[in-house]
Amino acid sequence: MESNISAKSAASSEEPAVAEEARPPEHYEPGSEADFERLYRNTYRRILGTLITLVRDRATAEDCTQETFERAYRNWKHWRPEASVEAWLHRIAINVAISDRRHQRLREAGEVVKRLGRPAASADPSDAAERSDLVRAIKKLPTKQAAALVLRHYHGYSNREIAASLGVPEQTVASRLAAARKQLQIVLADVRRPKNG
Amino acid sequence: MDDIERELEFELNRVLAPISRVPIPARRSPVAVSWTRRLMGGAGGAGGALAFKVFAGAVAAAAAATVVAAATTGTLAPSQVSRGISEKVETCKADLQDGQHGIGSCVSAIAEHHGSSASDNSEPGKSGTAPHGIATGQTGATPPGQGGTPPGQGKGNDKDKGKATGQATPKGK
Repeated sequence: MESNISAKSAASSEEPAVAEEARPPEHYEPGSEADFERLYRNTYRRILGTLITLVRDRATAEDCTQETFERAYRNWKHWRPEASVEAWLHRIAINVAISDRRHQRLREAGEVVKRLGRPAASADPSDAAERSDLVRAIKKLPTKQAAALVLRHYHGYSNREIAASLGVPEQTVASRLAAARKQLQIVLADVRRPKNG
Repeated sequence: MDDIERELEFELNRVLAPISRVPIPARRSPVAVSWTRRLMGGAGGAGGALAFKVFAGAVAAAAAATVVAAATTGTLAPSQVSRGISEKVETCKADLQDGQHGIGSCVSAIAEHHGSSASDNSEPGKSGTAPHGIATGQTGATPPGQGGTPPGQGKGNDKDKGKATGQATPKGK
């Protein structure tokens, strides 16, 4: 995975911090407090980037990122060094996102009741992700489909790495990616329709 | 690569580029979970209820076993019981005549007698001394003035030996 990331970073000069994080494979000792802190520093932004495309907004993504590292910390001594540490973190992050989406549906019901008669809150204008049609469309996909797209097209993961992150067989990933792209086109058309029409 | 893939890569990199400049906050420390909450399995639920029932069951079983043992032996101290039984076994062995084998019948007769005596002694007002000379150290419910050692004539414990002078020691000296 790390080699893939390095190749992607070398090709793109637009991601200075991500390139900085994508150094040659780092060695981590399971259970080591210092190594976990280093892992946190090295991967925080990448996990946040994934979660921003999966959950409602930036604040939720930051909260889910912290939740991801909390869960990872609890299982840090059980992590096996032969497995990719970032795929492991992404797997936790995707589960956190799935859990958050589930709770989000319940929260939304309550928020609709609270908002009755008040103007809708405007999104943070500085948050590019929330203004992007494509990211809005990705958020409407099932979480694992959305995650597969982000891992492939943002992080540059291979099918094997995506399979490790999603906890599915490698053969499933290609078909899931194809289905995700097809679904994204449909959702994207739907998201863009009001503007064009 | 088709259009949607190109758009995905371009748009995701454009939109998520600002993330690379985000300051990394301090890691949130995991919330400390108390041992009782661990025992209850977090905030509750089926797992917590089951853990609690198992724990309560184990406590109740241990308490019941203690009560039964105390009622049977007449004492709560296992070392005293085992010492008494060892002595009785030795007595049975010594009573064996030449050519006679086995002390089973002797020991079982003692155990039978011991069991009935111990249950009698567990009633209030009976002596705290177990049968067969097993000292329990428990005086039982002896009525005031009818048993025990009069005040001032007790042996005292080891700690007090040689200290009880009967003279008050002035404070500060």
